[in-house]
Amino acid sequence: MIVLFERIDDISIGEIDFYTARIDNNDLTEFELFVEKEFPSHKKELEILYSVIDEMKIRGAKSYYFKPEREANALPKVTQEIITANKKDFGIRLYCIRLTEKVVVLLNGDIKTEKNPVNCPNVQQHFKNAVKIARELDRLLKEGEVNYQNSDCLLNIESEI
Amino acid sequence: MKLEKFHSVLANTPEKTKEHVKLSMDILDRINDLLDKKFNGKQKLLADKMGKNEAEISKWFNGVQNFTTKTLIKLQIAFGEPIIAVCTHSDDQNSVFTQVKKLYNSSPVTLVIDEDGELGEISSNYEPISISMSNKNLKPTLPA
Repeated sequence: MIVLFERIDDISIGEIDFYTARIDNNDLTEFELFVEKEFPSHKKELEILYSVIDEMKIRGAKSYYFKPEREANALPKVTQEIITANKKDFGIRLYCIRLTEKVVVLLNGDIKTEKNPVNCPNVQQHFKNAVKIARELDRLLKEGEVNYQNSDCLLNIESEI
Repeated sequence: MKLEKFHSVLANTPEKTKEHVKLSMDILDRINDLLDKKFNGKQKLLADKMGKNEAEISKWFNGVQNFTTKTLIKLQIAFGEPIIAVCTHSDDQNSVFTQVKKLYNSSPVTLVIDEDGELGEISSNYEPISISMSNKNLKPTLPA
């Protein structure tokens, strides 16, 4: 899998730089693929998810805004009340990687139908990709190839995973 | 980048949902600040102080929540500091300090009209606190 990181300039305003990944030279990036999906039965959850991303532009990406998902993260983090409003599933998962308070990589996701994401046909691939990419980003940091304190840290970085 | 649907969802999000997210994140930021300041960032220590187990209180630190006033009061008592501020009448004779009305994570803006009638804004990162003196023998010392 070849991963090219790209900054999402549209929403990288203020306190934060949002990046995404283009996998195997796909026409759309992972975050674009997520945004293009429709979630008619999870309208409110999607509105909360995007509002939280929007708020991060002024607040930064505090660690407690994110769910830990092995080495990666997921959004949104909402109440049980909102999750259980959709009784058939576990709600929307947008897999992402919070690197610092100022750098976040937004990836792909879907509606999670099983407790363990590995068993969910909708999200298993997105979850696995997020974990792989998070491990690769950790390797790049440890080997001194990137410095996540810089806002342009992932600009046009390409990795073969 | 193709993000029209993202912007469309945000533009069509009801005001009440946006305000809910903002207030929830304000409270989340505030209680996490207080947890760091008062309990070294440890939910276990806060839970002990409140006579609850850690699992019971961890839900309050998990993203967008619906806090009741009862919960906020319990947290305020445990932290010994306010979590939310309410705008009060500045001419309230019983209050020594006029309550700060600056919203957490916001910058107040003063609207000004210049002599040509043009409207402008002056932003500042603080809002002045006025102090009323209850002892007439005390005089405020102002810097020269």
